Amino acid sequence: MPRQGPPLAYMHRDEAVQALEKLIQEEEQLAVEIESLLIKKPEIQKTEKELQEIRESLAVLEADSQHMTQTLAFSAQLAESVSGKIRHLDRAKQRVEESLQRIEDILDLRFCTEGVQLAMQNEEYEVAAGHIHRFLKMDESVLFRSAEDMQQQNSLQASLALLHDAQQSLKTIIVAKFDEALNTGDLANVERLFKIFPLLNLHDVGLKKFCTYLCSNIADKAQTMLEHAQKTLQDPNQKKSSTFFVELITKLVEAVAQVVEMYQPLVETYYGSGHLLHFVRFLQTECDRQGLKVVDEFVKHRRFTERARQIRVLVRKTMKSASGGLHSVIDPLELDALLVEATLMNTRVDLYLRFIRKKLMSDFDALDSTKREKENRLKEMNAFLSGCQLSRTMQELIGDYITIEEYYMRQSMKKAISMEQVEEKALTSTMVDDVFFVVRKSIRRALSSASVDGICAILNHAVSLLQEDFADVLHAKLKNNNYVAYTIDLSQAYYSMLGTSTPVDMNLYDKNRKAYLAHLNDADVSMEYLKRLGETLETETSSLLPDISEHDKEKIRNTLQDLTQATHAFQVVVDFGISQLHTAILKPRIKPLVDAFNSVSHDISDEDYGAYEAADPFVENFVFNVRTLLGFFETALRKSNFDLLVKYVGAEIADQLEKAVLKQKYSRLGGIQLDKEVRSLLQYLSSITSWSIRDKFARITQVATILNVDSLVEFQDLWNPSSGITLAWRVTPSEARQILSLRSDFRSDEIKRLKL
Amino acid sequence: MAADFIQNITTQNYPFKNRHGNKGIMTKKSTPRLNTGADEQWNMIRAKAKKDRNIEAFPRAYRDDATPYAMSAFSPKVTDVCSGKNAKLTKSDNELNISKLILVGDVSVGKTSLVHKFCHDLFNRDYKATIGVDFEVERFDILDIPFTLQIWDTAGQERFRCIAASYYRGANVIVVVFDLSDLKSLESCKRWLDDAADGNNGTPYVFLVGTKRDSCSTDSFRRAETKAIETARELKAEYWAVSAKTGDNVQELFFRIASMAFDALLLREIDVRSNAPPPPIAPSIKLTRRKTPRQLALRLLRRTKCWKAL
Repeated sequence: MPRQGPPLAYMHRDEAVQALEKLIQEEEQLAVEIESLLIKKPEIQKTEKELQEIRESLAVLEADSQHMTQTLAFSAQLAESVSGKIRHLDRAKQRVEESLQRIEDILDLRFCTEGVQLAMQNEEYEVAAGHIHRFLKMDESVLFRSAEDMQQQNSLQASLALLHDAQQSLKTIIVAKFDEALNTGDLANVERLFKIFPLLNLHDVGLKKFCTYLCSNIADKAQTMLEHAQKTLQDPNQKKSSTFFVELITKLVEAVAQVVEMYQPLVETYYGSGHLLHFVRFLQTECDRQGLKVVDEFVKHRRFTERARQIRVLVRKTMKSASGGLHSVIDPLELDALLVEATLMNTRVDLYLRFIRKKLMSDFDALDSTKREKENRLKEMNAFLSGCQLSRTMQELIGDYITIEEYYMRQSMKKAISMEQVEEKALTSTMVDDVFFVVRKSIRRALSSASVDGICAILNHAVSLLQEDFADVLHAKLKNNNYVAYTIDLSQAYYSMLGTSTPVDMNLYDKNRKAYLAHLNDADVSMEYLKRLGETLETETSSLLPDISEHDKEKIRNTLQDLTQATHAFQVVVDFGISQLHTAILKPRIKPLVDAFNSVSHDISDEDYGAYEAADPFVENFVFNVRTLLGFFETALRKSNFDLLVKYVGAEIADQLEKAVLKQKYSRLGGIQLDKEVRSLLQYLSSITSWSIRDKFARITQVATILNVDSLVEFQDLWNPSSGITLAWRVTPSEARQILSLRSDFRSDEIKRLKL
Repeated sequence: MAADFIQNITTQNYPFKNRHGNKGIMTKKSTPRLNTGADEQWNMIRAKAKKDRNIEAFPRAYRDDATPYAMSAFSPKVTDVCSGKNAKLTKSDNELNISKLILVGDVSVGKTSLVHKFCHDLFNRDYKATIGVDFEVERFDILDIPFTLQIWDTAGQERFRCIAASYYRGANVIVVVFDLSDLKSLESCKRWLDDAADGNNGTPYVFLVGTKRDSCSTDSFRRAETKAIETARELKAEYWAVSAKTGDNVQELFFRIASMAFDALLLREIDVRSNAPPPPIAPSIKLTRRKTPRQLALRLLRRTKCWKAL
């Protein structure tokens, strides 16, 4: 690029030199550039050469690939024609096989025809059935067609007719023989003939006949059992166990289970998998019939349903009349054994059904069916098991059981409550232990029935009984107890020095007080029991019912949760009782104690401070008095109840003390004294309770801290959170100013000037 | 050269990505667990409800003239609490907002179908009798507060009545179901509810729900509905007509139920809270700038009044 500088004539020497230098620089730069370009030259040449080479090889490649395409096309064509031939061949082979099969069938047919005749003559029914089985496997229409091809229709038709005849006659013979064997009880023959049915495609007939036989066996056995049982029941001299019917039904289901166990292999081997459900279904009808008889006998003999109905009527009546308290027509104790029996009967039946289920499941597993088929089978099985008469009967039984058990629980609870006693040294009354004993017993009995819905129902009832009956009773007992009212009378009488105008029965007073505190403890201990009950029941459920479904487990878990939630009802009772105790009995006595604070001056000199140090003017005495006041309750209340009471008392003391504190004037040393007093009071109260009482004392402690500052500057430092560790203030800025003004050594205008 | 560079990037990035992924898993694992038994519940609390189970606005009744419950919005107290305006709900994790719903009604009116349609969006033509009680749990987020509805679906057969009866007392919502195409089932609704009234001494919400709307002609439906509304008035229940087959009104019904139960539950809770003494607040310690040891020592001395001794 030509340089366009200014004309030389205008240039100065210096400028010229500069220009020269610049030019020299440019020249050097250009030289470097040229050099670098030159260096690259061989490289570029090399690349050029390489590219040339690549171009040459590409040409070769193109030629090669064209060649390859041709080869491939040729191969493809070849393959096509070859595979066509193979397909042809395959078809031919298949046809040959089919023909062979036909020939074989025809040969077999002849063989069968001859064999059947011979076997029938010799009464070898297994052999005959084997031939018929072979024949039944053939496709008759195909046979006909091949016969047409061979123009041998006549002979074929003859043998077919013969075989059909043989099949029919064999069928009648087998059926007759089987019936005969069944009638004579010839077990060996029964089993022998039983195997023949599937060979004749008569699975259902065989199963049905055989099952009828087995059913009659079971019926016979059950009949003798029942007759024997009835005799025992009618004979007053014979000792009857309280679980008589449990044994009876156990015997029955065990007999059925034994039959299933015994003949399952037979059915499986000769009839194939998948027939067991059919087999069990047949048997179950008899089992249902006999089971119903046993349960009927139970219901009749123990007056089970009748009692349930009575109870329902009774409950409805009392509900309507609302007079409260069921007239105990039926003694709950009488029901105890009955309930055990009912639950155990259900357990046994449940066990039996589980056994059957397991057998059927393994039978299904043996079949290699699709998932959908399997699901359908499972559905069918479940519907069968839960819908069979025996299950339905037991469901009805459980329904009545729930009614009776609820009644039992309610009545026993009422009894426990009516029989309550407070023993001399016990913190709680006897009823709380009794009530929980009853509830626990009922729930555990329900658990032993293995009926998930029954368990949940009893749990539901237990929850509502504990909440509505027990907790409400405790609440009412606390409300109606005269102890609190009396104490107010007493203290008024004491403080007004009027003497006893109305004589107070001290014995009754003592008794009332004891009952009041015991019921408070009852409510408290109930919460603990409930929690423990929930926990133990959870573990017991998983150990007693290990193989219930996840869904059922979830059901029980959710119901158990309600049980633990019932603690709320008792918490309400405890809160009510303690707060009443506090307001009626402790609060009126705290006020005079705090009043003592007013007579102790805190606007004190060095000397006074020394004197206070030597002989404490307030707090020691105060702590002593509070201790005597609480002392009785510490021994008479459970720890958690006492803690709650102390919480109330602590709040009251803090409240009253704050009021008293704000009425006095303070010197610097007075502030220190107050701080000391508050601290030792807090220390005492913290020592007697396991809960933190500090938050109740937060305000009063802060008031003492404010009154204890050295100077307003220190206060500012304390208040202003810009540095160091600061308290979360419970005192508002205006309150703080007011508190500071209690200090006799702070000037009010300075306090006003504080930035808070 | 370029290929090298790309490879470099990828090799550099992959371990980074992995580390990130691992971290995600680690944090998930380290979340505290209550105990093994409550694991599922724990998940229930933590996990947000499904998207279609979020309720923001209060659902309306099926017919305004067929309900004793006039509410059409969440109570102001409840919305305040939920938006955190007033005292925040400080719930411990195992304390859930749970309401119990119980379904009763005659055999084969479609109680189970109704529940299945809502919970699993499935409708099965085959009738299968319920044995005892079926149980479903549905998680909602109502006004961004987790809420759980326990659905106890009872069997209609006579022999399961005692089992169903045990659920009445704890129920917050009772749904009496009848078949719109079979008015006999409507007649027995009163009997079902009488049973329930014996057991429940709280005041549960009551719904009267007619099912199988799809199988009714317009005429017969109109006739059934007039009758049902009459019955609903008598029973003091809210009337709904639904179809589990087509899904008509099913979600609307359950959303309405959930919202009403949720509102009542929270109101009760707020009540208890306002009566109870305020929860204790421990004096907190604020952390601020650190001071030099000398400054701290001086402050301490001054505060403990030991300075006099110095």
